[in-house]
Amino acid sequence: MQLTSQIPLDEVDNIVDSYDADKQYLIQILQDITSEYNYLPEQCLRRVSKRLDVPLSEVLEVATFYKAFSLKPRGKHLIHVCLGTACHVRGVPQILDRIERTLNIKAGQTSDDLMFTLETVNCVGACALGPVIVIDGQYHGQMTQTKVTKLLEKYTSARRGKDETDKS
Amino acid sequence: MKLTSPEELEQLRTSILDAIDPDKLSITICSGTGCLACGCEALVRAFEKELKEKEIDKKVDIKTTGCHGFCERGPITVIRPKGIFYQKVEPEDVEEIISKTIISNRIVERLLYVDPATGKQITYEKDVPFYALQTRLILGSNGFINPENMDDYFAIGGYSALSRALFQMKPEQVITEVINSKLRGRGGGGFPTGWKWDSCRSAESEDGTRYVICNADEGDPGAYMDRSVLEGNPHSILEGMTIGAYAVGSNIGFIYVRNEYPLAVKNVNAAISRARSYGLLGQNILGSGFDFDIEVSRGGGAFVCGESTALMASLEGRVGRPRAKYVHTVQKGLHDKPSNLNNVETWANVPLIINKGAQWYSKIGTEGSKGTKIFSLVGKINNTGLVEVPMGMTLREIIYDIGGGIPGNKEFKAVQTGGPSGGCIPEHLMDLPVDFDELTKVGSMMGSGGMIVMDEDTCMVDVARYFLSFLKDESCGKCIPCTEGIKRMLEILDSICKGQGKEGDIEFLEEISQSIMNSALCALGTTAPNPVLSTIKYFRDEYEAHIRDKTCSAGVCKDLFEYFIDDELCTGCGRCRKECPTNAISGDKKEPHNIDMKECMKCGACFSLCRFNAVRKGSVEGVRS
Amino acid sequence: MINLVIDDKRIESQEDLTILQAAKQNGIDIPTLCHHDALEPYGACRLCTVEVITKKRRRFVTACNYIVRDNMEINTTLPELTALRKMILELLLAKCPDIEIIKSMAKSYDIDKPRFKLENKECILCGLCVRVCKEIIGASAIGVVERGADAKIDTPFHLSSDICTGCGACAAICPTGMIQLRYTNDEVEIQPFNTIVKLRRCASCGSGLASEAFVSSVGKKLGDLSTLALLCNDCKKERKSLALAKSTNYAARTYDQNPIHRAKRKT
Repeated sequence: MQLTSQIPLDEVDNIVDSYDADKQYLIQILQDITSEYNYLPEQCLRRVSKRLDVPLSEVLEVATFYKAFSLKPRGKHLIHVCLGTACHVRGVPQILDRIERTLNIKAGQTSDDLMFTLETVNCVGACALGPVIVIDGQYHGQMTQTKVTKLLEKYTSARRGKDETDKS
Repeated sequence: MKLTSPEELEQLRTSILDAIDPDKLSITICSGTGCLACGCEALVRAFEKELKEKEIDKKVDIKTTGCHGFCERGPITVIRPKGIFYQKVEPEDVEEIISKTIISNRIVERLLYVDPATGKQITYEKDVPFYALQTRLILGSNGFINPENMDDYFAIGGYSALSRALFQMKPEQVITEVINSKLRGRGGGGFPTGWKWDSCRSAESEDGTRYVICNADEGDPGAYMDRSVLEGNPHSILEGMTIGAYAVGSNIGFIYVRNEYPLAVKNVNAAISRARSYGLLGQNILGSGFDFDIEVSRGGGAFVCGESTALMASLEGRVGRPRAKYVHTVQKGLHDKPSNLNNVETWANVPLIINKGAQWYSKIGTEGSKGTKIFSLVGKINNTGLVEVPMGMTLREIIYDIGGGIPGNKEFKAVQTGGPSGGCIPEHLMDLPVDFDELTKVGSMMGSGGMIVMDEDTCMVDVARYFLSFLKDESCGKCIPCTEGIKRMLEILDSICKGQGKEGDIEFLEEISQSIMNSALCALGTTAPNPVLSTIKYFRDEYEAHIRDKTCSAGVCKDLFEYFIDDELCTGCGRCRKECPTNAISGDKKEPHNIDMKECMKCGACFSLCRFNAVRKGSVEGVRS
Repeated sequence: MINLVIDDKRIESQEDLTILQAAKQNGIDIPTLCHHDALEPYGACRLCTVEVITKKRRRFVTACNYIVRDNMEINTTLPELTALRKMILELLLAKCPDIEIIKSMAKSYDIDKPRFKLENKECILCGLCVRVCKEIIGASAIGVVERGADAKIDTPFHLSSDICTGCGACAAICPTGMIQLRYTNDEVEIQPFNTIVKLRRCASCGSGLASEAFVSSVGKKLGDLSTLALLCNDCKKERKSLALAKSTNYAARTYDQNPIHRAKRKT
């Protein structure tokens, strides 16, 4: 993990410049910074505040209001569990439970080893496939507790560097 | 190649249509988000590979389209021009489809849809009851357009409405036409669109700036209609917005898309670039002298930004906190200028109305609600997907005739409409026509079009709790009735669902609800009590059973039921024992198994995987005795 | 002038007033909590909700930001309004049970014990501190972070603010008293904002002046007269009277000769 003092801010300047340093694009700018850095480092927010001439407190208001942003570094793998109504009635709360137990983190948290960030999202619009979870932008539908355990194992065993194939 | 006159547009259209070989085979593959999630990309690659191998890739087209709507049956492949309908297609099926259908003109029967009502196989798309019973004025185009190919949109008449409006109608005439169509907003508010346009046009603007905005922040969980229109037919929105901009006198438009729809953002942005290159957006559109351009803005992940003032605050780079609407946004909206905001589906209806006329349009639907409405029919339903029906069709027809009823022959319990602002409609009201006013009369609302079907295994108290939990998470936090009121209502519902409910809780919920409805700052707050009030109204007995008997008969609230294994049905296969995360299940092979209630954490894994339905739910008292 | 009826009382009012202003001018009190006459209306507490009847319809609106119109009928006390005010205060009392202003407002509506589980927060999220810092002081040192029930007011990253002027406007305007200023010799500490602001000292007598930030911003605005920003009021007065005396040939006492200051220094 980079120390905040080491984060290069040229990219922040480029992003701000691409929006002509116009403060009405603050949210887009923060989104682009998130794509670049995987979260919103403090240094970046300070730079944005300066360049856009928006008080830092207001930049923070925006950065903490919207769910797309995180002030803390996020994990390598982003798991989004759909909590839409259709997925809810198809039993997604139990899927979420299982993921939380397997990874030992609660929704909204990142695992200590920075491998996984688990978040809930309110409907990804793939209701026919409910319950749905999205990992790194890949949709996985018709989840069951068994399936999700196997799916997570693929990511955790890859990390361990072992070439274990699932025998089941 | 900029089109600089209506004549040039029509010439282009004619040349595109002339170039189409009506007999050329086209493999149309649904690539909406749902089918993408089912792996249709691999399907596309498989088709491309196979066609090349058979050396017929020049003779057969592959067209990837937006969502066809029959999501339950995806991945969907339609072989045109005949319209042969294949469902649940896998890459492994591609070889057979090519060799049989494409080359030898035969049907792959196992991929056909079987109508459960008749048991018959259906060959053609138009005969599939799911589609046949709909009126797919808007969604129907999705199956014929590759959203990345403008020629497809021209081929189905795209931009003819814009051409007509710009060159044959004055702005005021456009507004009159929309007023006469009686189109009402499709985002949930149901406000007459034409009148909104009229107010925006007449609103004062010092420097003449006016904005048109498309609300694509579709936040109602379970609703994805707007997403499918944006992904599958983005030009229809651009055309609608341009017509609207011309009508109200705006030169700048915004499409605000929620953050969770990356494909929609991509497709709309690409469509805008293409439209610009054709001179259909930007300066001097079609040589008319009218300038209009559109910018796409992504949301940051906040349901409240679907509310118009919060959306506009977000467009200004600020937090999405609503403000009082005592001065309407048509008067003072984005940057304090007159702003006309409409939902995606509302905009999509505009080219239709201009092309076919208000009279034609107002013949569809009911007295108070004209046109069609797209619903996302999801939840405990056989035919999950998007359905477009004329206003006035009954819930029963939608859920049973089009939706195919409840899976597993379970009993229907309720249908939830209107998202977190709506309510649940029980069985005895199923013959209600779907109509803005009718739905409101029974304590629900049309909302954006989410239609969540619930069955006997759904706990209605849990549904109310679910919606409150959703709203608590999404509340902006500014006003006390919503922020604190919803939080406390949720506390009461949590305790009811945990078996700690008390006499008087229902009345207390009603009391808090009334105060919130009378005092909250925005519609998120004022409508938040609706799911609670409508479930109390129609399912009070479930609340009472939770409170008095500490029982959840649907078997959802973990503390109010127990799992047990029926030893008459259990075969002792041991699958549940292996999967149980707390090792609460014991039993010898081929012997009936047992669940230790003390260890059981109610995760439900055993219940969902038992092939013999031996794992059952019972009341706490009943099972323990 | 336009005509209104408030609580069955016929009233004449200027246009462009809010219902709250028009009511106040006519001796009608509407309860508020997040409102302050010096700031833009905020509409967060909803206590000032009243009923408005125009020829079209009847609605509930907040009096603090609803502009009056000719022939409007307004009711400020109805059973539904009392009920919602009671509910709002009950909710607030459950959140902040030890805050005096909430306790007393709730009591005036006969609410002693809320029917909700008690928390022990201090901030009622009226937003007055944020708003005064932004609208009047122009510093925007604090803001509302997070959203919903988790919303709280803080400096960026909860770090000591480097743009706070130490003016104490936030503490002065806070209705709950939870914002506290603590002065030491050199500094003023503002809690709960974790902020310490260094104080400048008077260039002449050395007594505490104001924060560095404040002094330098005033100094900037005074331009050529910026040195005046570096003196406390008494020293400024002394300098002025010395200058006056010089120009009029009257003798003037210096600071030290003034018996009041001599007495002060003895203590």
